[in-house]
This record gives sequence, C-alpha cells and structure tokens, in this order.
Amino acid sequence: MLEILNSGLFSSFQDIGRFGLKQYGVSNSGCQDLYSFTFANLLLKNDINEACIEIVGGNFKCKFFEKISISVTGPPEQCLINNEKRFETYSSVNVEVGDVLEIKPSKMGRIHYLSVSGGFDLNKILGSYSYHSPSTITDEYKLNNNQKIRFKRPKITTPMIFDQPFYKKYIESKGIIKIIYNQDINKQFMNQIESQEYIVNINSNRQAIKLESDPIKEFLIQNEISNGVTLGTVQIPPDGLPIILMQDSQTVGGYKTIGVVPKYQIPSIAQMQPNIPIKFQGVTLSEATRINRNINDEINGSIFFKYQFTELYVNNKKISVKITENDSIIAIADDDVFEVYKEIN
Amino acid sequence: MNTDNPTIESTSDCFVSVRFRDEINPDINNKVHTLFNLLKENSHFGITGLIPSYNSILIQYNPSELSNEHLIKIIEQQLSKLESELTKQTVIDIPVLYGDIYGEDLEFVAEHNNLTTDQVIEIHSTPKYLVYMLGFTPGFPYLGGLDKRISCLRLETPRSKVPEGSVGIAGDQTGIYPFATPGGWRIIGKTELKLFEIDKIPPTKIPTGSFVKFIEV
Repeated sequence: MLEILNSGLFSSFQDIGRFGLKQYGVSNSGCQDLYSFTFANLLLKNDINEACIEIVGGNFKCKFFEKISISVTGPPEQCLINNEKRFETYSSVNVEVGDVLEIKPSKMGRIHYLSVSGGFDLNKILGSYSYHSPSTITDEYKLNNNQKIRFKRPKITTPMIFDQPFYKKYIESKGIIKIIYNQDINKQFMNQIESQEYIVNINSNRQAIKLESDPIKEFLIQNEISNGVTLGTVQIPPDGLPIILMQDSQTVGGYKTIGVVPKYQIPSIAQMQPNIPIKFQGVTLSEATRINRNINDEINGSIFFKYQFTELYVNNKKISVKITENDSIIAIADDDVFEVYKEIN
Repeated sequence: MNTDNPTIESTSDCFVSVRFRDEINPDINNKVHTLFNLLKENSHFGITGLIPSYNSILIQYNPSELSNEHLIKIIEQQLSKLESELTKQTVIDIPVLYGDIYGEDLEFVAEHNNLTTDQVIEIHSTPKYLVYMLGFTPGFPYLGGLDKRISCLRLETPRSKVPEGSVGIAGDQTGIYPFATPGGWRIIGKTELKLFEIDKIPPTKIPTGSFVKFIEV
C-alpha cells in the first residue's frame, strides 16, 4: 500500500485508454505521454497496459507501507527517496517500508509516470483504469492527498535503468508541432499558420491544449456540421485561436478543423510547458506513419541495464554513486549529475 | 440514383473519415448508421474505434496492426453493401414525468409558445425522435425532430447542476441528461430510466440511429 502525501497539481490513474466506446460519447482517455507510460511498465516487466499514476506538474509525494519495486519516467528530473537517495527518471528502484518518494517539477516537461511492480489494485471501469476528467464516472481514479492505494501483487525486481536519451530525442519539445493538414487546406494558409509563433495557454488540460497568438481571421463565421473528432485534431474556433484536442476531449465537435497532430507527436505536445514559443510544421501522412513505426521499433528493441547504488565520500562530501551493468559509473552530488568515467575496464 | 458516394479521407495516421453529403437529414444519417453497423459486425483486427455522427463516420485504427491502404479497402467493401443493408430502425420508449418538480421550466415553455402545459406535453411526446449521434457527455443523445411549436431558447444563465435524467429543450433540439451536469436547457421533465450504466456493455440504452419516443407517466 502507498499513501499520497501530496498529489501535486493533478494526479490520476491512467492506462493506454478506454477503446471502442466513442460511439457512446465516451472518449479514449488514457496516458498523455504514451512513451513514458510504456517505459514505466517495461522497466518493471509489468503488463504493458498496467495502470500508472500520471503526475502533472511534479510536487508529488507518497509514502510506502510495503517493500516494492517502483519506476518513474517522464522529463529528466532527480527523484528523491527520504530526501536523500536520488535516482533518475527512466529507472526503477526498490523502496522499503516507510520510505517517502518525492518527484519535483521539471523544466523539460510536465508529466511523470509512477508504476509499481505487479500493479495497483484497482477495479476497471468500462474496461479501463483511465480517469475521464469531463465526467463523474471515474472519480475514484483521481488522486487526492491522504488517499491510500493497495498494490495488486507487490514484487521486488532488480533495479534497472534505460540510459538512452529517448526523452530528449522524441518527447522533449523542440518548439515544433507537426500537423497532417486536411485536404481542404491550401498552401497559402499553411504558410500563414506555419509562420505564426504560438504559446501554450495555461488553461490547457486533459481535454485540450489551447494556443495563444494573433487570431486567425479565416474562420470567423462557421457553419460546420458536428462530426467525430480525434486525439490530436486541430480546431480553429471563431475566436481564431487553435485548440489541439487531447485524450479526454468530446467525441464530436463542430468547430472548423485544419488537420491532426500525428500520434508520435502527442507525447511531445502533452509535455510542452506554457509560455514557450512553438510553431506548426506540416508533415505528410506517409512520413508520420514511418516515424511512428521507427519509434515503436526503437521502444520494442530497447535494452535496460542493471545498476546498483553505493556511496562515496569526496572531500568529506557524501556522493551517491550508481554503477550500471554496462560498466558506466554515474555520480550524483547535490543537484549535479556528472558522469565520472565510462568503460572502466 | 447513386450521386451520394461518400468521401473517404485519411485525416491522420490513425483515423480515416467517411463523409456523406454535408446535410443533417434522417436518410443520410441512416447511411452513417448502416455503415457503422456493417463495420461493427465485420470488425477487423486493428480497428479500435468508430464514431458515427450526423453525416460522417470516423474510424480509429492502430497503424501498427492495420495499414491505411488495407483499412480503406475494408471500408470500400462495406460501402458496396450499403444500399442493400440499410438499417431497420428501432424505437425506444422513454417514460417521462413532465412538469412539477421534475420539469421546472415546463410552464415557461408553455407561456413562451402561447400553449398550455398539457399541449406542450402532447406535442413533445408525439414524434419519434432520431438519435443522430451521442456525445458531449457520455451517452448524451443528439435528438432530431422537435416540433417548432415548442422550441424555446436556452436559459440566460445555465444551472450549475441539472439532475440526472432531465429532459430538456434548447432551440429546436430536445435531449436527455444522462448525468447530473451543469446545463442551460429548459427542463420540462425527468425520466427514471438509467440511460448510461458503466457496468454494462453497451453502456447506453439508446444506440445512435435508433428512435426515441417520450411516454408521459
């Protein structure tokens, strides 16, 4: 069992999502950053769709009442156990009875995932563990302070680390939002929207990411018939400010749509920080499909290394040192991470 | 007369849209639901979701399991059967307690249209309303076919909580709130029927493409 000491800005249970119910008005929900979510379970050899805690904005704290292996993924950030033992995201670690885990806010993203070995003990609602924010049907999946959560089958596994810069390469925002344009969008409009700089509005949430800039004036008067919308649909309401629909969006919508953000870019836009300039950039359907496939191949082929912690004293200063199976040594002192040397043999 | 060939468009790397003529009418909507049922019955590995709406259907798929080209072939195959398979539509009765504490705005709707409350009830419970689509909140039906004699504008300030099962009118539309949510529709009655149940598959009692008939109780 664990107890939430601080649920941070917003924490909820999520899995891959709730599929096949869109015809009844139920959106897919599910994790916003599918890649980080997947690694959280892979590191613990969990079922690939095991529910994780999705932590938005950091400032998360929980206390463990059982020995168990856990993993944290998401933007690179030092996670702390009992305010002293540090470990990095994209690794797993074993916790003892009474240990307190803290995940701090990151400058490189907004969302972290916490998974536990064997999974959390929850009941599925409509076939999924995902919190659906616009309705009340899954309120038990939203996490509050002092809430206690049981584990399904607590296990101890060997601590593992994924030491590739996957987050930096594929998830961390590069200031670009890729878009597959609808067929009715002309070249002139593409040039216009791609030259415009946007920032993410602070009121963005699991339903939609709202962008701010000079309004687009092309679609002031709209008479669209409502029809199905999807994860990543880019809508332009009459106010001219683009909206990108996310996991909890309505299933049907009536605003003008100009295109869709491809699947492989969703983790990246979910992790975008407010107030950082971004631009749209067109991508073809075939290119998006190819990139999506390459990233999936890379995830399926990823290799994790065992590691262990030890402590050293340098000039009377305690340094936590991590030795990984592939013979690299990483030392962590205060907030600095520095690689001491690699390939010592 | 086959002038109504729909447009098939790959809207992204995991969605394909099939769009019929840009119109809201029962015949076009029937085609949408027939195609929806055909795709559901002949479900193919890799198709992960179907969203029927007024004149289109959006098909969600997993590109790692099903290629875009293959999916379009599946859709074309089902479209070729469309004309011969047009769906027979079912009618679902919804018992409604009109007026009083159940429908606070019934009198307003009557006065606004120079009718008696009984006339409003009679006009409202006469037609069969087509469920064009579900959306907004889980299970919320978009019903078509309200008699214009009882249409009524939304509240100027929405109520912070409309009780579950409330039957309302907004403009030329009528609908039922499956959950207690904030809302600005004029509430004329309430049904005790539970429209959306999370422990049932399908979770809704009124599928898209069916008809709804309100019965006064």
